Amino acid sequence: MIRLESVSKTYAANGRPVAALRDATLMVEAGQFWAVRGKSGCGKSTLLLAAGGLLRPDTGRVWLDTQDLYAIPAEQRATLRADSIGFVFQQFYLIPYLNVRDNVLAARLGKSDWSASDARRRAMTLIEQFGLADRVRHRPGQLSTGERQRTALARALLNQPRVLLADEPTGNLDDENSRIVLECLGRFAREGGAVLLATHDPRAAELAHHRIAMSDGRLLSDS
Amino acid sequence: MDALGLTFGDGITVKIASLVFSEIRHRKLNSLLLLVAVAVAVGSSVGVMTLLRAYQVRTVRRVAALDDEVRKIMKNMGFNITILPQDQNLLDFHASDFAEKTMPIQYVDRLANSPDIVTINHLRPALIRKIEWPERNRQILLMGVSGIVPFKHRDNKRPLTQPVPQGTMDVGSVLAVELSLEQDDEVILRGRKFRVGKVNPQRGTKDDITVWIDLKEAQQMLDMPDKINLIQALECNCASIDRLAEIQAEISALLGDEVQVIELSTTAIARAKAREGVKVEGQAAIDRLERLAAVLLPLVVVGAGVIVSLLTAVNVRDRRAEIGILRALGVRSRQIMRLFVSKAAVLGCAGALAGYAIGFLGVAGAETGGSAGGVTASDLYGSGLLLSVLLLTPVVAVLAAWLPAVAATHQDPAVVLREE
Repeated sequence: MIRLESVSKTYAANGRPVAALRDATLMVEAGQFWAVRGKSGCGKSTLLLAAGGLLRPDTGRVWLDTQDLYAIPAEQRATLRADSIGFVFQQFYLIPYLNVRDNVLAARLGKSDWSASDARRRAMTLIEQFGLADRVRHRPGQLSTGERQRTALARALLNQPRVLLADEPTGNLDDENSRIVLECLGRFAREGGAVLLATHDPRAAELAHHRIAMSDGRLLSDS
Repeated sequence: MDALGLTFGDGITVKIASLVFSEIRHRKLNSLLLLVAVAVAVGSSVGVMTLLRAYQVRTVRRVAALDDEVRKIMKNMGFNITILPQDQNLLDFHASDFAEKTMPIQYVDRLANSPDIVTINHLRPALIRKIEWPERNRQILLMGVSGIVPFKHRDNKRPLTQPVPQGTMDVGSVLAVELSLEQDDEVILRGRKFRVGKVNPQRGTKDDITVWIDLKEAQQMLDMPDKINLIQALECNCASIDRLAEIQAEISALLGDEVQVIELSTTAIARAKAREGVKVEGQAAIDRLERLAAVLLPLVVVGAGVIVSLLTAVNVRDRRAEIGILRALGVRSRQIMRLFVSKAAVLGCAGALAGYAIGFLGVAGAETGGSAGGVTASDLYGSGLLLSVLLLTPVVAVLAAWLPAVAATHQDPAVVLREE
């Protein structure tokens, strides 16, 4: 479903080149849950951003099914992202002035294939599923960290993506909320989605079907 | 706040609008500063324009009031311009109370038929001579006059005087007393029979010893066919301080150097001078305000534009993470751009309304009322200014926000999401 082919990316840091990704090759099929483990700064986030069509690699290619993500114009890539890829981040990135329901519905800004009532119905289903029904009118500042991440997860799932990219989604969460989030990722994979999780938490990685270590921009092993 | 609750159908524009309004409410300080910048710029511009209008209205009103006063004075005063033959010596004219020299009556027709004569009204030709009234053994001033000769190329005003019908004479008051003449008396003047049509009231001038008869009869009596020795006229109220030179130049352009013009100094002239003074003073104030506006308005617009641009840039910086996640969610560049320019447009509209209200009401409050020369708020209101403000302000705000908005669309979501 999503395939990285010899992807490399180098940043300039303090005038010196820093290789964030070195010849990374990885394929995540539908129904698979992959975890990429590694220390902070090893390149996990860069890998996810490149996989999600947000960061053009210096070399190599990224495929979503049969589409080379970086061979198409940025606007077309944005549409593809809105249609097929969901993101979850450690910092949640909720929009501070929108309530829970509207933050979830923000995922519809880039799309117009559902009616507004369908979108609201789907959003409310997800909100209830993540135990946020009584928080629907609350803004992010009024939510706990766990509630924020669950809101972000609901937003990522609203468009019924085929791929879920999760960058340290449990990094700020307590055990209970971590469990809810990881269970959700597992369920998404079981229902036919592809999950790529970047984490430095061994317990989170344990739940994945496949684990791969990352160090200094290189994918090291498969299990 | 149910920000996206306003959505209906699949209208992305509506969703963006909801997002814009929610963000405006959320980032109150940024929004308020932007609104204030626009409102101050619009308010000061509208204030200057309204002040300018107040000066214009007041000047026009004062000039009109003085015009009216001059018109009333002139109406009572009669003719105040005398056109004489060029070779008439003025010392002799004033000493003898009439002009010895004559000119053809056709001059009057040439003046009346010319479209270039605009500074005088009410042309009346006359032939005056000091003669003996042998039947009464008395020296009199005989004045042959016609009716007012109408101007061919303009609407003529109501005649100042009525013609003296043939076979009748009007008599000055002193002469009437001296000769025991009354209205409807039959008299003989140099062998011709006349009826006294009117005895004029005392004026304290040479008119009191004058006899007026029809011009043609006078020309026949004096054996001076088609001759006149003066043309009386009333100067137009539109003339300037240097009106005599203007009138002279206008007439000379038509008749060459064959006539000279003298002006009877009266209170009307003093009023006319006052009117000109008010007009000049008012125009000077308007000119000063226009110069101020010419400097202030561009400065205000540019200044407000810079502030809007800076505040939008700050807003873009504050919303880096939001831009990043929206891009990650597949929101396109033009939608991101619309978020920022729409905010500028919305606050531009609100600022325009607030600024117009402040600028207009502030100046209208100060410029209307008791000592404000009768200027009212409705005199100062102009829908053109309001429309211009409401249309142009959002456009300027959008233009000012354009570059920061473009910068927002160029933000790399990967960089933002990695760094935040």
